[in-house]
Amino acid sequence: MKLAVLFSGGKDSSYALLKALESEEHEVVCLVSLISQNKESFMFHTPNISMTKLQAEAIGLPLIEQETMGEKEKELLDLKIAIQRAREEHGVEGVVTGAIESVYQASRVQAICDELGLWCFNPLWKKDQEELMRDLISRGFEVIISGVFAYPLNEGFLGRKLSEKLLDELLVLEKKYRISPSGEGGEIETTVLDAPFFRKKIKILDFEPVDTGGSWVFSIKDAGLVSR
Amino acid sequence: MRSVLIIDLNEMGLSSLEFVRPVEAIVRRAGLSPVQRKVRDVVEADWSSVAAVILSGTPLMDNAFLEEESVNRLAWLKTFKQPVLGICAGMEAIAAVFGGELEEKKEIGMKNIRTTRKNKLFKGEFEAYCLHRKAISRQGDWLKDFDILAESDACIEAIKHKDREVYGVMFHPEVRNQEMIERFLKQ
Repeated sequence: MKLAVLFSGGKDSSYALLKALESEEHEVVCLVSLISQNKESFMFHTPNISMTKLQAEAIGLPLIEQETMGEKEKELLDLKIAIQRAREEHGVEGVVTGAIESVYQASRVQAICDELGLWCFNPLWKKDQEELMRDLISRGFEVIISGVFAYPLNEGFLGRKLSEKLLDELLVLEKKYRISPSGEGGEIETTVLDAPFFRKKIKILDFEPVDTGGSWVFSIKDAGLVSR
Repeated sequence: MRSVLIIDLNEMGLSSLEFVRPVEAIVRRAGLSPVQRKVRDVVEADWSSVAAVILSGTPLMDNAFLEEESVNRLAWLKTFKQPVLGICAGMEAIAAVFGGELEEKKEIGMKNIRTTRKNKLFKGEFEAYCLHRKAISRQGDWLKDFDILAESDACIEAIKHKDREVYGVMFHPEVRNQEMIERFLKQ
């Protein structure tokens, strides 16, 4: 079955992409990214979303980009348009998401796929978050923290690479402050620079930490592809 | 360790990660050992020694489990003595095995469920995650062997066999109501 993967460039959609690529029954034919103008989007990861173009090039898959104002229900119409484009341009029969816990997110994508007569796959659904983080590390993903949105996470976490050490720190914060170690509650956003299916890896050439009023975003100003 | 047979009704392996793995995790947390099988791979040795059986859900598009061959392979459920829980597609499969019919009844997302008969799994009103295009029909006389345990505005949400611990739920308790599966496993 030909699949499109909803791709934000963060760790969850990247790991869902890995699962789809590993599935012998399917062929991933394109990535779909919603470029949300709303930093508080209910559905779509926003920091460094423009990186998805470079990531798609690194992976070697076509990317369908769809802009959205990111208003609560209207962004779903934009998602539907993007998925329709994937069906028309690439013959997609199914859609893969990186949803783990969000019933809001999962049920809305399910409804859109149902309207369009497409299969919907959520290979990370209900996956243990610590296990997911350990899988990403052991499978060789290079993941950086590209946004922090909850106390006591601060600018010191920006740009740090996911490692056993960082995970241990996040697990301590989980116990003390009830922060999801994988950022499932929106506390952390990530950007993937390398993964087992990347043909080239991403090198950040220039960046800037941006204070967004108590939250911090690792704004990537310039990046390029280098050999793995 | 006692084992629980989880019958994976999914046509696609990628869906098993979504509909079987979360149930396996709950079984493990309950101190039991999950044994996962596709319908075609289940042999008597699998079900003759297990403490319970759970039939998984499937994606909205996946109805292969309703094909005659698949339903016939589950005929042993009619006389199986241990507890059985069918989740969504699993409930539809139980209905098919016991001669029930299905009708088009779609629910996607969190829905309000009302308990209509006292039972061991849940009580009162609660919200649960639903993901189905079909539901069991009240047509025919097959339901005379079952009690209706819960309903939503759309459809029958839960049934139990009158004489045995055979349950079916249209919603997905593994998503927001894990305690119901834990109660089922405690029997």
